[in-house]
Amino acid sequence: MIPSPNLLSMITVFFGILFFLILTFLPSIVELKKPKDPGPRIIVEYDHIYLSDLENRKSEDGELKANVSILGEIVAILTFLPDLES
Amino acid sequence: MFIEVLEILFLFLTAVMVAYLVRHYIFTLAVLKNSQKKKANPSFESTIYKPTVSVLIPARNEERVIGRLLQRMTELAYPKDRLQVIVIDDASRDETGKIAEQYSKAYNYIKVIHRSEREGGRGKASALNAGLRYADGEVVLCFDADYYPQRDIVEKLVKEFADPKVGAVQGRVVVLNEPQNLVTRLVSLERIGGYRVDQEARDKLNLITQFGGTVGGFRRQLLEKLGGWDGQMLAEDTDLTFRVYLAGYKVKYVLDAECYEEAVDSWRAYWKQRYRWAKGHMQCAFKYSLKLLKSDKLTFAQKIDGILLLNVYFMPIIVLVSWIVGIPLFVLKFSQWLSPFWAAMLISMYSVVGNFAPFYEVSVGTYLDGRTHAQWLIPLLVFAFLYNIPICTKAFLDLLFSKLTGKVGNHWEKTTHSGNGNSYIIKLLNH
Repeated sequence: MIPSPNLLSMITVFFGILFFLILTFLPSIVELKKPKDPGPRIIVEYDHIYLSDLENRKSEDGELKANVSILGEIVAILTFLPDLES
Repeated sequence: MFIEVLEILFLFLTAVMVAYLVRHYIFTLAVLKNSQKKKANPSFESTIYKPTVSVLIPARNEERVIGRLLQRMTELAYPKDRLQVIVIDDASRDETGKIAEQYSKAYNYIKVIHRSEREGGRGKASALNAGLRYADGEVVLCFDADYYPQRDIVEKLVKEFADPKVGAVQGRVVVLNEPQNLVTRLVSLERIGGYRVDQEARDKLNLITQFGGTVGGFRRQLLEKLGGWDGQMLAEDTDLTFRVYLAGYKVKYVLDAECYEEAVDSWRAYWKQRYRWAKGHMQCAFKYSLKLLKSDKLTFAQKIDGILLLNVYFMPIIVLVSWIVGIPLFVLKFSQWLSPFWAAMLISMYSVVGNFAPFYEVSVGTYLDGRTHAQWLIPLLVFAFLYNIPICTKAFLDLLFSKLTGKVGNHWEKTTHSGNGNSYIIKLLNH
């Protein structure tokens, strides 16, 4: 028996919707059955720089700047020395 | 004539749905663009600004979770001489008060306020106002009892107050008990969409960033000037958000100030919580929509965003009405100028995309969090959205009924916390 066109289209629509639903929710079902997601991530914490730390850093920077200026003076003296020789 | 009215109504509803659709697209694209910028130019943010801080913790029958939060408070990196922790034991009938007292005895910066049966149980806003009277910090932060913050969350949040225009701050909420079941997983996806994308975008685009009631806080002076929390409002956080903006200040969202929450773990608890949020938001919509439009303190974009934010819980109802209106239009095919096909397409498009944490927002949020497998669960958000339709409809009808009859009907349905998050914290700490 050949189904009437209406019945055929209804069957097509039914299987079409079923296929669409399976296609849509299959990844979700797979993930629910065997979760691969690591779950809630570890909330990121990192050490904060406090004012005292910043002040220490500033003083370190100051020392560094002082060292750089001393180095500059040494370089200037060294560059001056050949002139003395001449 | 009847068909024409239906068509005009349908077109109006479609326009509203499209407005939300566009809004969420803009948000998602803004966050994507911003995340790329951030990668290219990492900036060092100063943490020098260190005001005195009062942390308010309202707690009613929270014996299963209050201990872990107070323990965390003792572990905070913020200087303890600039910190005050106030636990408001809101007429608890369990051991909440005793646990808090033990911490108060051991740490001098932790204070407990006990409210009697007569004073307590009137909702979170009432408890917070009771705590505010004892707060002496320049900044007042709030944490719910089931929350578990980062050690350095206080400095991350309060540094924003260095800007005098900032009246309030909001941090990010991360679901702790996510693997527990389907409900917690879906809530987590909604949170990712809401905080990783929605809030972040509103902040970056200088729109209306929302104070979420917890993991955030205010300048104490401003809070006192505004009269504290409004006990008549079910969404006291949304209410305060709009009062802050209308006073000429802004709410700053701090993405990297993260805090765990214990999400509702059953559909029943989900209903109760969302019903309260929906009804509270609708209350605020009635209260502030006009004030917002008339305000000279807000930009045009902020007004538009504010209106959309205030009315967001009407969206599931609008979708429902669109179905009711659209289906007859489609079936009857009376329309000459509105194609029934397009009517069906427009409704289904919005219905599938959802409302609360639209798919693309969640998708981008999980992508930015590096959680590609969590994206596999996104189709299931359809069920959460469908569940929100009866929730919001009931909330609206109840609010309408209470307005018509003059009955207040603002009973605060407190979310019960099972303490299931404790096992996850232990796992994470041992990681």
